[in-house]
Amino acid sequence: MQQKEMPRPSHTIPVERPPFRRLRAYAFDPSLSIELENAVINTVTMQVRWEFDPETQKDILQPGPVGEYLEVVDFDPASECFYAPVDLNQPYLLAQDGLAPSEGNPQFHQQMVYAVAMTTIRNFEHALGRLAFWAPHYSIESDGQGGQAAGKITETYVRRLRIYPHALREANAYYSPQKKALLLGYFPATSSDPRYHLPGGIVFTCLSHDVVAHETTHALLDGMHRRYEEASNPDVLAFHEAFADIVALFQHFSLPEVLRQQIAKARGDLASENLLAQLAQEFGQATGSHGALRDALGNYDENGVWQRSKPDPTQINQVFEPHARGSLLVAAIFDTFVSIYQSRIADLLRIATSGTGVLPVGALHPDLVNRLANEAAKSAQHILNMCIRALDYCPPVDLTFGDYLRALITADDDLVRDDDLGYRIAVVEAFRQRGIYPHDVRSLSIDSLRWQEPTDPDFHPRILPMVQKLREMIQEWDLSGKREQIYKVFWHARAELHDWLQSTAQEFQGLFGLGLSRPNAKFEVHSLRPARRVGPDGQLLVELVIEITQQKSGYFDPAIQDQVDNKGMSSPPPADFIFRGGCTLLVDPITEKVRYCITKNILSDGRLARQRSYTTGDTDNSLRAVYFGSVNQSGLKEPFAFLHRSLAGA
Amino acid sequence: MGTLNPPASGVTVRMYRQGLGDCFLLAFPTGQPGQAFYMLIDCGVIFGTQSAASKMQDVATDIEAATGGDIHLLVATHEHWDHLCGFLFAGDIFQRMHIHNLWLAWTEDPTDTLAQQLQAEFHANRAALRMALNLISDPDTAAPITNLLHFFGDPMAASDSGTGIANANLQNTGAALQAIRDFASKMNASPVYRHPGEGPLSLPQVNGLPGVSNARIYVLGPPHDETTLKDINPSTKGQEVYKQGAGASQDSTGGAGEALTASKAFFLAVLDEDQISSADKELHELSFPFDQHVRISSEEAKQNEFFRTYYGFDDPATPAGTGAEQSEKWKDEVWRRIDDDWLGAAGEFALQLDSYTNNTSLVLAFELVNTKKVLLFAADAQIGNWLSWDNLSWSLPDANGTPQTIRIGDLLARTVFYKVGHHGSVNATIRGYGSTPKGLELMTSPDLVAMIPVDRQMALKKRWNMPCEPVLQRLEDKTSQRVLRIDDNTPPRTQGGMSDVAWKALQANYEETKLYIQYTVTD
Repeated sequence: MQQKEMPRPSHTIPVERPPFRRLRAYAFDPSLSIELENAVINTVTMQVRWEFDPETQKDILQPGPVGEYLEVVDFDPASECFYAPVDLNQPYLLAQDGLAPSEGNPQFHQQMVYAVAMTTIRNFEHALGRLAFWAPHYSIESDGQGGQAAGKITETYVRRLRIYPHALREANAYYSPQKKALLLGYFPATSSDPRYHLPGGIVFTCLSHDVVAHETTHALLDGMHRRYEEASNPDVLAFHEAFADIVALFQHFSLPEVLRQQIAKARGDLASENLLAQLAQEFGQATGSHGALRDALGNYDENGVWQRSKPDPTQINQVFEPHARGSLLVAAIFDTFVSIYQSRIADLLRIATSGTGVLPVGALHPDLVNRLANEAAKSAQHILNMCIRALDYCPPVDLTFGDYLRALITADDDLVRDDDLGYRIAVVEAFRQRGIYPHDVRSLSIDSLRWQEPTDPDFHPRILPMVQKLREMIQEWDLSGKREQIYKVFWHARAELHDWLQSTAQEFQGLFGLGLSRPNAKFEVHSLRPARRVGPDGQLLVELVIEITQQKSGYFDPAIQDQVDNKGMSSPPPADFIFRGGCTLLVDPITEKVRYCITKNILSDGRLARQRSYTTGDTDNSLRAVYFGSVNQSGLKEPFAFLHRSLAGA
Repeated sequence: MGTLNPPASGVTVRMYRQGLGDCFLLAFPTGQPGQAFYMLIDCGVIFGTQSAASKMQDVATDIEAATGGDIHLLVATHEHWDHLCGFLFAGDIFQRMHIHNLWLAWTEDPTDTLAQQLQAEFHANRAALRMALNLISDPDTAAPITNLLHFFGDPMAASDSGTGIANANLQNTGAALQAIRDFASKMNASPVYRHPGEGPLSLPQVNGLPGVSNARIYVLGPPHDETTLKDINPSTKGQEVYKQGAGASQDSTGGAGEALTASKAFFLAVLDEDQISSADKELHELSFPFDQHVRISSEEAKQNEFFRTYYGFDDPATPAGTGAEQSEKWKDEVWRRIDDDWLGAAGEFALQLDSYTNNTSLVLAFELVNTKKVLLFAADAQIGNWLSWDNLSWSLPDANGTPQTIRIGDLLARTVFYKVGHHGSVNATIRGYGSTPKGLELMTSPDLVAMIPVDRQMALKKRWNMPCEPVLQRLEDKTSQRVLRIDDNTPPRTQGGMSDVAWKALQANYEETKLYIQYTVTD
């Protein structure tokens, strides 16, 4: 808060800056506030990090809110008007945890998107142990004569994600990778059931906790893996959707009042229908479907009766629409959570029931509810951290669900050596039941699923100079301080590493899944970031994640492909699609060892053929695809707008 | 070129090969050799087809020659360019022919209240979409919407009919329908508006022509129900069509004078203040998400430090596009602005509008009385239209005069010829829910032959998925590979994957030229 410096009496006792700013928000969305049963829990007070500049120690939150990570700009182009930014430092607002929830006050909307998005960011940073960054902006330099000069691409740091709470007048909300912005829509409800909705009443996606968390996660994921919006196989976009849903879902468990009420209502059984496992109730109902937009546990059947969905391992080969396919992954993760939770509360239930494990009829004892809620929150936090941490163990391009399973297992194994509660087995079991396997392992044991250290005896000697180079660079890094400075440090490190690698490129041919045999082969040091983990003796270790990628032209016609790739065709035709490859390296700078080298080989003809058949295939047969093309056609400007519009879903 | 002669008993179907679009000429025998009953179902080709006018002239010329200039019954299934534009492009030829009877769907009936309500809404939405299109500056966003609007002809032509624009390049489907009505009125034939459930009907009587005794007609669609007409998408379960992914959810196109709907709210935002009818003024106010007093106009915002810093505007002193540098304050992060993004929703509404029109398709089934074989002409009917047939029943006396109830299942089981809906797209040939087969799955006759008026290359050019692969595959299974397509440029047709029996049966009744593909069903 910016106050005028007043001369202070010498005996003033300094007041410390609070760690959090308390802000009110809807726990779910406004629709639950009109149900008596849920109204009491639907207003929550969220604790949002108090933002300040680490160098000057000054508070930085401005009206908007505009802070270090976010800028909320309330422009409503359909209505051709703007809404004044909320000033959360206003004393009256500070004194009452921000504005009270209200659909009719745009400033509350601004406050809520800020609170929810900040919470999502904090969850990410907490799990990864480092600061979060948005994807940079790329611009192609113009030659000043209307043309594009030699395609020189400039990378610009994007400090803040922009949020437009009222950007669209339609049942849609999406993250725009082009604009580094969340575009959230509003629309009149077309509910078939006016009990939930005033027909024609306005529904705001920015007031849905889930929608905001989901879209913010898209942006955070894009900041780490910007190639995950390219549909090179049916899993990539599905993963983007699934991951965004997973984060939104598990965020429900960080709201204690909600958790206790739902656990009491479900009598401890989180495998029965409950609000925690559902996403975007209001959105679902207001667009005319039966319950929530998505439910990790079950669905309403044709008679409107909720049914727990049974895992069907054949679905993975039948469902290709990204949201539907993603929901298979979400279900697998949620099943993992439920089984972990159940194993953690088994003893509590025995204690509470004198060993029978059978709960008596009637309400549960509040103490038991509290203990169960505690276990649920812990299990949820563990799973959420596990899911986020796994992102550091994923290949930079062409991710599959199977790769993600391997990343999950490896990441967790690296962090928690001793799996005495069987979490990892629970994960594998849940994935197996949904038919999700990696295709490159011999068995589904934890050992074979784990990424392996490179076994080639040549590998370490050849890579040693690079690791030493990195180690040299690290010593100059200052990891505290402002995000922009850290970004610049890493940007320079990437450039330096790139130049150095280029000078010795042939050394690495065949090691990284890259084609480096030709002189001046182009490649990109896609990402460089530190990852923290706990060593076997409990000490905190910093590792480096290095991603190197490459691209080449893909052709629908294998004959042309062969001409270009192997026969040195002199002037190749324009590419039909872009084929990417590369690797993620996890390097321990202390031992100078590459712990994992996760590759997607650019030289793999099999993978190229798979991408070709997926890109030209007919997997999306929605009505929309008849006229608007389908998601597997790459090169869409706004992939999430397309994806989300096609489902009228967030 | 010569007269099209039907078999002694049965019917001959000629599918013209003008491109992506429907034009079917049917010839029924009257019992009097040399005197056939000619029925024309639609005559059009997709907007943007090369030399469309001359192609349609060729088709019309052939129709005139084949029929001797008498069309005893003209059926216009629905108001889409690829079904009607021939009546404009070859207007001179149709003008000199004799149209003895005209059948249209009830949705074109000026005395039907629901039809008029839907028409009014439809024209308002079309006009608003055209406005939205004008506002979109990004060609990639505009292209698919333009393509959809082309189903109604030139999007820049006025949307109401009979504006009398002489230039065929600036005409639309409204003008085409008017032309058809004019052709018919020349013979004093006033349009008959058909309703679902009508039938079995005899083919209409024509002066001087013996009646047709071996065929009768069942009217299947369009349903006389707003909700069903607006049911255009596969349900979320997505089981009723031939597809692999889950389907899209739906949003109704909106009811006039009722609560605010999503499309209405969008369209009201597109229109200028003075274009909003007084009836809509109230809804217009409701379509704003917040009360008047919290709205800050763009003009005010331009003076506001916060919005200048974090949104930025085109500097009025140096208008964008002039090449002059914008002053620092105004030009900040232009790439993050969202002035046009909301208009992307127009695509969704254009899709709804287009599919709604497809759902108004007049769907007819012809039954040959001796063998009870059925020919199904589904026009471009979508899900809602197909599903509504379940509610229909017809009564027909059997040999003993006892009335028998006929339902859609009976007709489909006896279907030996299927004019595939909507050029073979995913949502216009249904399969049914889970264990309840519907649509194509009920067509069990071993004699089934299908015709798809589709041009894959043209569809690709428009980036449309027609015909859809799973639909095509199932059709090939069901017909023993006897799927006849406009774009099958392989005469003489070869046996391919067909069994000997199927191949023989096809060969005996089949004729193909550059201009048409023809198939005869004998009775």
